[in-house]
Amino acid sequence: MRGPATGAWPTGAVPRALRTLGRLAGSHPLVPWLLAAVYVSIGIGNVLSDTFLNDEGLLAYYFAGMLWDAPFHVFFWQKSRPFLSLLYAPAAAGGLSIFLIAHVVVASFAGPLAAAVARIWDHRYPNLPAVLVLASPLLIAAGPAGVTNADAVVLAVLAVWLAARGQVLPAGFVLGSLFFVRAELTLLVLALAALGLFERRFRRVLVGIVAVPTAYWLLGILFHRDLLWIVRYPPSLTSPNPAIPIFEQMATPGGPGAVGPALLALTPAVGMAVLARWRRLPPMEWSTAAFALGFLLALRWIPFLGAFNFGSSPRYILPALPFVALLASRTFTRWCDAGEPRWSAAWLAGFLVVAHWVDVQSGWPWLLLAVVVWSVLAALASERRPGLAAALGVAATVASVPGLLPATELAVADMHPELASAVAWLQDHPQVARARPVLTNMHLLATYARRTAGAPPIDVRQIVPSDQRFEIAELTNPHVGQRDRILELLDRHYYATPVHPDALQPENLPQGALFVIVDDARLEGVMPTPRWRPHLETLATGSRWRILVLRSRR
Amino acid sequence: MKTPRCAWLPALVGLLAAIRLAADVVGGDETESPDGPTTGGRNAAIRPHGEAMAVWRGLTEGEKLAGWTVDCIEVASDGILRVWVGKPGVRWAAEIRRPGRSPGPPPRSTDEFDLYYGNLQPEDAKLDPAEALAVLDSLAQRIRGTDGGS
Repeated sequence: MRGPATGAWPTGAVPRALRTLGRLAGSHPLVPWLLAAVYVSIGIGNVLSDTFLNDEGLLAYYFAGMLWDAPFHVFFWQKSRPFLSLLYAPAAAGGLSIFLIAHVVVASFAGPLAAAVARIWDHRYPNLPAVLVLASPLLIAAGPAGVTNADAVVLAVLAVWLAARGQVLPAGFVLGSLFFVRAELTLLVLALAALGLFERRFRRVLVGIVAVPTAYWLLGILFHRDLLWIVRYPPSLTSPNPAIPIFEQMATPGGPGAVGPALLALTPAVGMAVLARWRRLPPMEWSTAAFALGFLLALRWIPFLGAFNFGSSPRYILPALPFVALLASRTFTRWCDAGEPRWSAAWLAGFLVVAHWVDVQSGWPWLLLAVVVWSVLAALASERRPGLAAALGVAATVASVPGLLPATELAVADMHPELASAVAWLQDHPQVARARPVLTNMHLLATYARRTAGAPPIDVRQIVPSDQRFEIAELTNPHVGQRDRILELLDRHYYATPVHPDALQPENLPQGALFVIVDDARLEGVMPTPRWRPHLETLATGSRWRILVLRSRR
Repeated sequence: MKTPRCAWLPALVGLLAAIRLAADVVGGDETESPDGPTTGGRNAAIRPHGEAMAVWRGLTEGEKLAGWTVDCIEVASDGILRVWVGKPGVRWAAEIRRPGRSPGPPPRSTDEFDLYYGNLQPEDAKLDPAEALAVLDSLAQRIRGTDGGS
């Protein structure tokens, strides 16, 4: 039951107009679509400027392009994230920019969907979650980056929206497809499956969850001619190749100082989510809240125990975004209905301790600033000004986006500074780079040189890391021609013309071939130092990159 | 049912956070790292310790190496040791790495380490390779612990 939203508001024409404007902004159904349009406009700008060019995003583009060329071989290759590749295949056929813009458009639906869920759940300001989702620094970067984490956000909130409006079976279908989108979303599937077990009206969600993988498995039997193909050729390696050191790096969790920036990059309103009164939440809202909390714990804290590990990049926590935003929105609804409870101050004090710790550990003061803002909002709510608190919260969230974008770890200039330096060197020495192959282990070199830097055409050959080659061999079926077809498709759908590890020998390359190399432990696996050092001469060196030339054959 | 007004509680937490933030701003970038004081901003230059200290053999900031002034000494998280040197308007880093991290031959090397140069700042500045190699030679001599080794 709702109580009055405000206390002693000032009267007069201007305050009245502001209140009307606030009500419209907070609840008019058109607003989320306008916000989505703004998100798409900004996203297109970022696509065209390559601000968030990303090798994983390019990989999603290549998978979709492969599926367009060889639908069955790729759709039944679980590594290709088949459902997403199917969705984006037509866009990928139009080129990288079209693919990335399509990706931005799909990501933008997360806002209106979150608002629709909030409306069904009777939030006071249903458009608030849309603002928080679309102003998330991580989602702003992930959309134009093309990474599948943004798709995970949309599909997760789509499933919840369908379930919330009573379309339980379609919700189950979406949930069932999540296994093939991002493995970590299994936690959301489990949270909503648990709801299906305990709540009779959600029971049919279980049917959908089981139906999609079953149908995919049965159809795959026709292609693979193997009853057990789905476990024999899984989406990722069940055990890493012990000879490849990259897994050791991935198993190293980020330090404590990485947690604060990642959470604020998800949404600066993350503190507001914790202040929601969880035990009063309806069952479905509670389930999604439990997913968000469990997901953040699993991805950001469990690696510290060494028990389990996901990637340490902040983008992995994105699927929690809509549910964190909905929880924050629930906090404001509670503040409108019942005021600000005293125990909020205890939570805020806890946040202050954590923020102090993060600042001492990593010199990152943004969390302290966030605690100041959250405390001001709570104080306003105590003074019966929840509407003003919501407006200030939105303003602070939007204002913080530029400052938090570096914490997304998705800006190409921050993550791959070697690209600009190495490409600038190639541009400054056209006589060296022209008419000879340029071999590289930088995944973005060819795309960056061509699209971003507008460099004259260079013949880039991409050194395929031994772990990728190993994965292709392990995860594809050689008996039905799938492995050969995938390797053949790589010639057209890869960062540049691929050079496989077994073909990379000094004797196979023309004298004068250039190597543009970035430090990477995997390189030793394909270019052992004792074998290669006598053949190479250094032309230029940078912070993490070097340009070498193949001189003589011995 | 509404809870009684108690705005002073969250306001107090906010005030404490603001004071802590202000202390950061007033205190600037000076902070103590577990390895000693940093210079030139947080985590920008961590003083060497253990093996790294042995490599430098007493090299200190402000010292001259082949006409270049040592700006700072950094043990980077990627395991590369960097000696930043500068002259007015230009700065670059000599890098000391374990052999085998890069397939090409290093410009200079010792029995235990490969020496490189790079990270020119600003990027469009000019650096005479002979001058850079002279700095690497000087560092290599120091690493070897001799006065005139090759």
